[in-house]
Amino acid sequence: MSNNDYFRYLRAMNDGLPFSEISEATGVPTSFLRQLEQRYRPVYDEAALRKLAEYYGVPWAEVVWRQPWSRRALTFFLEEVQKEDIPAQFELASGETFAGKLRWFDLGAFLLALEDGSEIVIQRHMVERWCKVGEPFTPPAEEAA
Amino acid sequence: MYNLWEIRKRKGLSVSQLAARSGVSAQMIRSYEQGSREIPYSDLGRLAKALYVEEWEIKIRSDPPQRKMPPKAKRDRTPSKSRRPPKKPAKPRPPRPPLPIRPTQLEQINRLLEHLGRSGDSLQEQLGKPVNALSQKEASKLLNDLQQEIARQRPEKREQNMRRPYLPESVDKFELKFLQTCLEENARLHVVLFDGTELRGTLFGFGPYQLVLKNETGEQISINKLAISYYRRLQEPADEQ
Repeated sequence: MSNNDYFRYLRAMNDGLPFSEISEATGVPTSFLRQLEQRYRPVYDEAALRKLAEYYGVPWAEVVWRQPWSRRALTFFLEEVQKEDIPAQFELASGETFAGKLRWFDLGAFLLALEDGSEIVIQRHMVERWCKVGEPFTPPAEEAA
Repeated sequence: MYNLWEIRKRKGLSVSQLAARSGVSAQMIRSYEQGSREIPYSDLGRLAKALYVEEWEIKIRSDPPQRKMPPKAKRDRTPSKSRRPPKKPAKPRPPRPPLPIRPTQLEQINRLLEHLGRSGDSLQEQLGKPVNALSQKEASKLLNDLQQEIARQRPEKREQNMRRPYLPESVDKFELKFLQTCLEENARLHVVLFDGTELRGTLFGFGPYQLVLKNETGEQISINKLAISYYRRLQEPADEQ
């Protein structure tokens, strides 16, 4: 789950607080909050992210480790494994891990053909980490993130 | 008995004034006056009171007022004296002198020269005149050339910067196609939510942000996609166990 999705998830778990209320409490502008949740791009404004982490009561480390696992990096990875037609492994926010070959991907989801022949559609916002099968989960390179 | 509009005009009231006084809407009053509706008893009392007349004095169905149309003005086909004379052909304007270089262009040229590691003198030599003597158009062309020179000098960096993932992301086209097939084939889905909740049912409908399942009891469950972790299509009864 990228930080963009993570903050969206945190807001949803807090009764879907309006941006204005969060902005008032943290001093982070609403435009930043909107971009953070809606634009799916990595955000490097550490001060703002720290304020938000504090506001939601989550450890800063939770935000830090997610930073390289962005939506953009996932797109790079999906594109690569689809082109090379190699099996990939995905760890979801629930802790489950699925491995298989990618059939398609788009903005919100991707279809994985599992080794047992079944197919599942995974929602991208639930993906925590990914790697090629047989390789460890290493954070994506900075240029991809 | 008089038409409603006759009484209203006699009293010197506009439709909106009568509406404000009586509490009957202006639209209704207009339709009563046009005779397209009969005035119901409830409104008749209110209108009579507002117009200071007895109820019986107002016709239940008014005759529509006859509008006096102004006579159509005849077209005067004779040429008017006040008509404008035909325009004289405009004299060709002399070409405008070229505008001088903008300060922002000058700044940008200096920045690009610095980037290229070139001196202003070499550029002046190349141009045959000082940079501030350029026109806006010439400066624009020069900026374009300098930018192309930068691009030529560092092709490997350019390629690296231009690396973009293929993003079939403008729409959820694959997922929507998948769901459309499921819908057409009356497929059953097994949906797992972010908190581990599992739902099974026939796909009843979907949108960009949600799925609607119909379970065995016929109950429709709308699921926001943000709450979904993953889902799969149940193809055989064995899958459902």
